[in-house]
Amino acid sequence: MESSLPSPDATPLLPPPGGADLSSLMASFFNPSLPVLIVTVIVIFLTPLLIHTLIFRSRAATTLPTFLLVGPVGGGKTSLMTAFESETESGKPPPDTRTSQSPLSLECSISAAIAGTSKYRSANDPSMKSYLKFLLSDTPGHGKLRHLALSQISSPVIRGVIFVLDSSLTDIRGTAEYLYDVLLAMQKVASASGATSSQPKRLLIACNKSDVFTALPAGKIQKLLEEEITKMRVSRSKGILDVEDDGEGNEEKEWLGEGGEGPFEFKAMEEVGVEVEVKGGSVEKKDWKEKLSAFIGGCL
Amino acid sequence: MLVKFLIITTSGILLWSKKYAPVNPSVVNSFISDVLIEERVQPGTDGKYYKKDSYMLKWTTANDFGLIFIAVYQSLLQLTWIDELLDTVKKLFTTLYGEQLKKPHTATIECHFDDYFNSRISELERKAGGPRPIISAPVIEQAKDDGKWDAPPPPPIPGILKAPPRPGSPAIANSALMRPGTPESRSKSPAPASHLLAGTRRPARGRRGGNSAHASSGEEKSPARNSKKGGKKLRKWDADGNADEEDGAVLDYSAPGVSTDEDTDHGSRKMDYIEQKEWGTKTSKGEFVLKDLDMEVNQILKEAEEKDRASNTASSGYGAFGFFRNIVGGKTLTKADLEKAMTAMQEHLSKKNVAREAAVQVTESVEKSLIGQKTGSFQSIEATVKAAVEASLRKILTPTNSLDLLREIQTKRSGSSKRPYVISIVGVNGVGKSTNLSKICFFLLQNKFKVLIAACDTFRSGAVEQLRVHARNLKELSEREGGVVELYEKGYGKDAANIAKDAVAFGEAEGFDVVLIDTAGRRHNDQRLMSSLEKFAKFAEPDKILMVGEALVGTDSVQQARNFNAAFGNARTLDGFIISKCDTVGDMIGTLISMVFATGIPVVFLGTGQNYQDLRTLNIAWAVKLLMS
Repeated sequence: MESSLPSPDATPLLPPPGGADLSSLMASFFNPSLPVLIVTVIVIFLTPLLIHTLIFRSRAATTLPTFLLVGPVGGGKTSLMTAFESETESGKPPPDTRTSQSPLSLECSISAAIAGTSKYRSANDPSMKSYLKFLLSDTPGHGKLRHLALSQISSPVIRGVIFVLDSSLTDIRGTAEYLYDVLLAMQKVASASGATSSQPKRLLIACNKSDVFTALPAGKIQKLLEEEITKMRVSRSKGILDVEDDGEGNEEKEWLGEGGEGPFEFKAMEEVGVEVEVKGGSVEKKDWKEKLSAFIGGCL
Repeated sequence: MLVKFLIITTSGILLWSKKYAPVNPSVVNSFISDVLIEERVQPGTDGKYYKKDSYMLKWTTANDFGLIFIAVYQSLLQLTWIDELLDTVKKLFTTLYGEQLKKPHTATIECHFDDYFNSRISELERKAGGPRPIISAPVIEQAKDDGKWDAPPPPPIPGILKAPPRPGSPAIANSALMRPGTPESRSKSPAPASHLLAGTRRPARGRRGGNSAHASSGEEKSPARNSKKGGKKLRKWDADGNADEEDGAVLDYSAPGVSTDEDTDHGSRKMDYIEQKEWGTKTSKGEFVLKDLDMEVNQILKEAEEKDRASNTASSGYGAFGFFRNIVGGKTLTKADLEKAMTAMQEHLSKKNVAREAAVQVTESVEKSLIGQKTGSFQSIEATVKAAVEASLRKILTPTNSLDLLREIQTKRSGSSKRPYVISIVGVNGVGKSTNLSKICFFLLQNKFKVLIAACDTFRSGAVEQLRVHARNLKELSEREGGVVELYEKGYGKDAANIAKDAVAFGEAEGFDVVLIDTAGRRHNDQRLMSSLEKFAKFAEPDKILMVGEALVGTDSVQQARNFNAAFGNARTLDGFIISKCDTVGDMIGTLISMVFATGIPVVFLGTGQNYQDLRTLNIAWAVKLLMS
C-alpha cells in the first residue's frame, strides 16, 4: 500500500504533456505525409518477402520421384550415383568417393522414351523427346547409420530401391542381413498400402564391381543371397523377442515373403508386392547407365 | 612429411585433395568409420589424432557445410603446423566455396584450390622455420609462367603438374573435360575441370561486397573456365592477345613447343593468375603474383576471423530479433546458444541413470556437431538439441555388426570344424551371470541345440550347485522339445581356465553344439582377479565373451565396462553386453548408454524378469524413447 501512494501524485502531473505529445503524434501519423506513406508501402511489401526468405531460403522443391540407393559399406553407392549423374547430366568425370556419413540426393534425368508409361505412345509423340527428372538418393551403408535408409523406404516419393553390393561378396552374411531388412521394410510398405495401389514396389539388386577378378556373376550372387536369406528367415523367426514385443503373434508381420517354410526366392516376393531384379555391372566399366535407366524407366 | 590432404563432404564425396605420395583410400575410409561414425577413440591418442598403418591423421570439421578436412602424414614425423594448416585451410575453403556448397542436390563444386593451398603450406613452413619437406616449386614455377612467357619452361614436376584439361578452343576443352581420366590422374590433379559437375557451374554472386578486390577472384575465375557454355570466347581474360596465338597451337600438343607446353601442362591454372592480376597489382612480374596470392589468402583469413569475432559479439545482441529467430528457426547455433540446452540435456540424461562421464561426452559430441548449423524452420534450439541427442543415442546403441546368435551358431556348426560354439559369461559379483547363462541356455535348447554348461566358478561356494539346479530344471523343461543339456563340473579350487579348456574339448568330443562357460564374479578394479581373465580367454578361446551388467549400477558402469573390455589382452575384447534386471529400473535405463558408450560394444540381450524366458533383445527405438521421455 505504501509503495502505491506516490503514483496517484504522479499520474495527474503526467497527462498534460503526454496527451499533447500523443495527439500531435497521432496527428502526424494520420496526416498524409510522404515519408510515412513511403515507409508504410515499403514495410507492407517487404514484410512478406522477408518472412519468405527467412523460412524458405534453402528449401528446394523435393517432390521429384526418388530412387534410394542402399547397401553395405564399400559397395559403391556414392560412386554409382555420381557416375550416373555425371554421365546423364554434366558429362564430366565423377569425383572420387570415401565412406559416407550422411545421405545425399542428386538430380538426374533419363529420356522419356525409356519410361514405362511411354510404351503406349507413338514414336513421333513430342513428349518422347523430353526428359524425366528424378532424384537419386545415396545413403550411408555403415551399420550404425542404416536406419537413415530404412526409415526412408516407407516414404511415398520413393519409386524404387537400388541395393548396391560388391560382387566379390566378401561378407555375404552382412550383405544378406541388410538386404533382408530392406526387403522386410519394403514388404511392410507394400502390405500397408494394400491392394489399392496396383504398382508393386521394385528393388534392383545391383551387383557392382563386376570387373574385379574375384567378382561372382549376378546369377550366382542371387543364388547365394537367396540361400542365406532362407537360413536367416528361419533363425530370425526363432530368435529372441525384443523388449517391446509382448510376444503376441506378430509372427506374420516379421516373416519375409509369402507363407511357406521352403527355400526363399526373390520371385516369391512378388506375391507380397515387391518385385526384385538382379543385375551385374561395374562403375569402372560404365555399364550402369543403361541398366539403371531401364530399371528407373520402368518405375517412373 | 605431409602425405595427403583431403577435403571430403560428409556424404562421402572427395571435393579436393592434394597428394604428395600414394595413400590407400582404405586408410581414410577406416578413419571415417572408426572415428567419425563409431566415435571410437584410439587408446593414447586422446582423440586428437588417428593412427593407421604408418600414417597419422589429423582432421577438423566444418559442420555448417558438412565438410571434413583431413591431413595424412607419416607418423614418424612431428609436424607442428598441421593444426594451423587444417584450421586455415578450413577457413579459406569455406569462405571461397561456401556458397556453392549450400546449394541443394550438388555433389561437387568448382574449386581451384591448389594455389591457395600451396601458398598456405609454404607460409606455414616458413613460419616453422624448419626444413621444407614439401616441394613448393609449383607455385613459383607457375608464377614464372605468368610473368615471362618467353622464358624456357622448367621441367614439369611429375604428379602435380600433370593436369589433363587444356583450355584451348571450346571443343578441345570439352573433350578434355569429358574424358574420364584414370583414377590416378583424377586424384593427382585436383584441377578445376575434373571436379566440375552440373548445377554448380555458375559461381555465386554477391558473396561479399564487390570492393574487396582480391577476395572476389574466386568468382571471376569461373566464367573463363566455363568452357562448356558453347561459343563463348574462352580467352577473354587475356589482354595481351596471347590466347589467339595459342588457339591454333594448342591443337598440336604433341609438339614440345614452349607455349604449348605451358599451355597443356597447366593452362587452366594459369588463368587464375591472370584473372587475379587484373584485380591485383598491375606489375606483371612473376614474383608479384606469388605475393598477390599470399596477400589474398591472408586477407580471406583475416576476414574470416573478423567475421567469427563479429558473430561472437553480435550473437547475444540481437535482442528481439534473436528471440524471433529462435521461434521461427534459421538461427546459426553458437556455443553460447547451446549452453543452456546442453546442461539441461546433461541433467536429463543423468536422471535417466546415464553415468556422468558418458552424459558429458555425449552432449559434448552433440554440441560439437551442432555448432555452426542452422536450426530448421519453426524449430527452437531445444528441439534441435533434443533431436540431435536422440540421433546420437540411436547411433551409440546401433550395433555395427549383426547380433543374430542363432545364425552364427549355425554357420559355425555347418563349417568343417567340430569345435562347438563357445560362449563365456563374465561380470561383477551378483549381477546375474548364472541366471542369464541359464536363460540363454533355455533359448538355445528351444532351438534344439545340444548345450554343455561348464561350471568355471571354482571360487564361490554354492556356485556349482546353483548351476546344477539350473541344469536339472532346464533338462526337465526341454526334454519334450528335444534339447540336450549337460553340466560339466570339476568341483572347487581348480584353475578356471583349465576347466574351460577341458570343457570345450569334452564338448567337441561329445558333439555338443554350444558350450556355455560360467565364470566367477570379480570386482573390476581387482587387478589380481582381472588378470586371470586373459589366460582364460587364451585357453577357452570363446567365440563370444558376454559381460553381464546390472541396469541398477550407476556411474561405475563406465569403469566396469572399460576394465572388463581391457582384461582379455590385446587381441581380444568383449563381444557384447547383457544388461540384467532391466525390469527393476523402469525408464532409467541409462546404464545401457554408459556401457555401450564407454566401449563401443553392443548390447546383445536384456534380462527382464525372473523366468527362463525373460530374455529380450534390445529394441533401439524403445530404448531411445525411454531415455528421451
